[in-house]
Amino acid sequence: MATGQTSAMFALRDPDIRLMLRVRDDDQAAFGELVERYQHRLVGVMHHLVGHRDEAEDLAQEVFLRVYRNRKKYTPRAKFSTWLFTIANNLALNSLRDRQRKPVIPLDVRESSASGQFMAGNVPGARDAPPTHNLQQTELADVVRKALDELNDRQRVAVVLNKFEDMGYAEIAEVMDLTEKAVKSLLSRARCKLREALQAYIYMDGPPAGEPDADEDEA
Amino acid sequence: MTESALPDDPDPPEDAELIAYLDGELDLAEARAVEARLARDSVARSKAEAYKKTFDLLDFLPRTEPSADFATKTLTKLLPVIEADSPPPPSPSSSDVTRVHLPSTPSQSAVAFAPAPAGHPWLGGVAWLLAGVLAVGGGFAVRAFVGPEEPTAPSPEPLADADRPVIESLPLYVGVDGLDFARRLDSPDLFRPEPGAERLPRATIAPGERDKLAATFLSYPAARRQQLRTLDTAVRSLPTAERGRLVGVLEDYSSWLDRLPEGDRREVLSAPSPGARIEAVIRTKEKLWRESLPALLRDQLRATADTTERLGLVGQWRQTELARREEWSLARRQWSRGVEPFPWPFAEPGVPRQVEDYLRTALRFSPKESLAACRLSREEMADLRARADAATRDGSWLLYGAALYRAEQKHPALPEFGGKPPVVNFSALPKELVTELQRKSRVEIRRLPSVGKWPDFALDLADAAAQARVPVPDLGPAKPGEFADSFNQFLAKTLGPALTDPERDDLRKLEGKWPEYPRKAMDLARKKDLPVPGLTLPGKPSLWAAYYGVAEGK
Repeated sequence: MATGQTSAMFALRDPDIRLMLRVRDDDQAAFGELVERYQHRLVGVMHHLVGHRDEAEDLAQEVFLRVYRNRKKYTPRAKFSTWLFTIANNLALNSLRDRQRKPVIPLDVRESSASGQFMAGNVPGARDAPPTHNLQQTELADVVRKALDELNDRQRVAVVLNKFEDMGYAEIAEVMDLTEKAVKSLLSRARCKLREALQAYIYMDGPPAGEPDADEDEA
Repeated sequence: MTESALPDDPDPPEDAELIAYLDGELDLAEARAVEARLARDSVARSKAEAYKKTFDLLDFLPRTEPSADFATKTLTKLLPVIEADSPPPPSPSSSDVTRVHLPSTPSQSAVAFAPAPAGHPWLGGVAWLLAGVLAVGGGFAVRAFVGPEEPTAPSPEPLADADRPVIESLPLYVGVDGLDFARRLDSPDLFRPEPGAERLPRATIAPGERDKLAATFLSYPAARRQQLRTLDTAVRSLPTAERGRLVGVLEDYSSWLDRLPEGDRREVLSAPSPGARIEAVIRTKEKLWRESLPALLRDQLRATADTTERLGLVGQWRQTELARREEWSLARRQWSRGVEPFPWPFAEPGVPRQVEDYLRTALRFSPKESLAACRLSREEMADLRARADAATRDGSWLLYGAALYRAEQKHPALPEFGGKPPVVNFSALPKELVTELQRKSRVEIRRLPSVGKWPDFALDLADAAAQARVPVPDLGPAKPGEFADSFNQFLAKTLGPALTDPERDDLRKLEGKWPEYPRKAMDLARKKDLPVPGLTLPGKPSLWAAYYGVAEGK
């Protein structure tokens, strides 16, 4: 199908594609709108991936700059967000790879674990004694953060896109340049690891399966 | 070698199918197979539950928001890219060397132009406009820095006749992206004129200034020119009253911009998008407000180290100022009407009872209702009680009326089902639906603060379901006959006969849709100036707005 027809077809469906086509035509206002529209999602995903807020913002900025630099090469094929997150995926994976080569000493203890330096034993009680069931929400967030950091980089990307961007396997496959089967495998391994790391914490908000869920219908 | 070229994992985990099932990624036959396994295998069931719950735990990760200046910083980083992309100017001249990108002070570049006529400060915006500051082409910061604006060197392109009306209003459109942006300025915290405030007659633009405005207009990028045409057409096609009101808002905004210190003005005008510009306006207003506080309060603020405490102080002072402004406005209005011991509707028989009905039915604010059902916050409840007491004690009925009106505006009511309780918690919903919503929703539906409250809970749930793309049954009545008797009768006997044919058709088209149908019915009632028994305050809505709509300023 000719590019023009494809563009028209997708542009009709996806307002973000319309916006990106304006960016391609050097409409800088459209680019400003694009940044405004996607900054929250992109910074949020990057933070989940790299664990540092500042680094997440730097990477998100770099994604937008690459979008602008590559605007003339843009051809609407699928959802615009798929294209955007493909760039984001490449940048995030490169950044995480560089970081493993040149480990940095983190300044902030809470954000430190995203660098891959996390030791499984640091999760309080993850494998041994059951944790106390009155963890505060922030502590629980730390535990979950550390469990996410235990995943390898590609597993983490797949999980974050699946969970926070609501992407299906096919879309994740496109973003990560993998087959759907590989994504299925990647995600199931990731979920197994998460289950192992978080098993002890999952029934804090209710009884385990098989027991009556006391608060299910309460409000 | 790309990763897709790698062989697929030769040994997929045994639970891959189970997890794909939970993710909704299996086809029908595969899903059936997993369901059969789950039915016979309790270990698989436990695992499925654990996979789901561990995935849900990711919701505890904090959601990171970009910093306030993220967009601006990003676009600033883009500057070198854009400059590198831009073709060199076709015929360099000496003016390129001295071209004004952004004047450092207004006086440096605006000195050549006539000062704003006394009493019309917004016309001062002309000077800035001509100085090329308003180069927010298409709402994009970069334009403000690298735009080709040299206002005194008019473009060879002649001004089209169709553009003449735009020129007349150009000073009003300084830093305005479009009609939506202008409407966002029309807020009591921004530039909504005080009700009853007198306005000076509109200034006329001198012929010489018109030429300069035309030159400025022509110097803009085509996208900005088109944006201005669209804005001007939209403003002109507004109903007369709304247009007059919006022009007042734009005049105030323009003159405010004109009086701003240069750094602040630059921040507003160079914001990268309409949303960022509104944020910049709000931020600047907030900053100026703090600077305008009495020295004693400023010192107190400086001496308070704890951020939460500082925010608390600022909030408290803001409330005090708002209350004073409201009281002053009401007093001015009462003064202009003459002294009324019982302003409308409090002198009318039956009103106290009807107000009680309204508080009980629409707001669930009654000694018989539980706190969980009451739609008012603790502060709102305390305020309303205090105003009611003061009204009976000191006769300050206007302030009580204003508090009632404010509560009604903040918590619009919707009619309930007839013969069955409203949906105010999860017990009215199928368990599978709740589970699916919990799995797919980005908000933690179990923690919705509106639980217990009608219609707030149902509305929040409908939003969460729409966002998660989970179909839900109607959470409230959505066609005649489904409502409580009083609303059914109101529809049939009061609202129905008052509607025009097109209005009736519009309403009928929404039958079966919740909350669209009841919302439309309530909107139409307001439009027809009809009170809805138990759901709105007693008496004509227009009278409530006229007497007590301080914040609305209409």
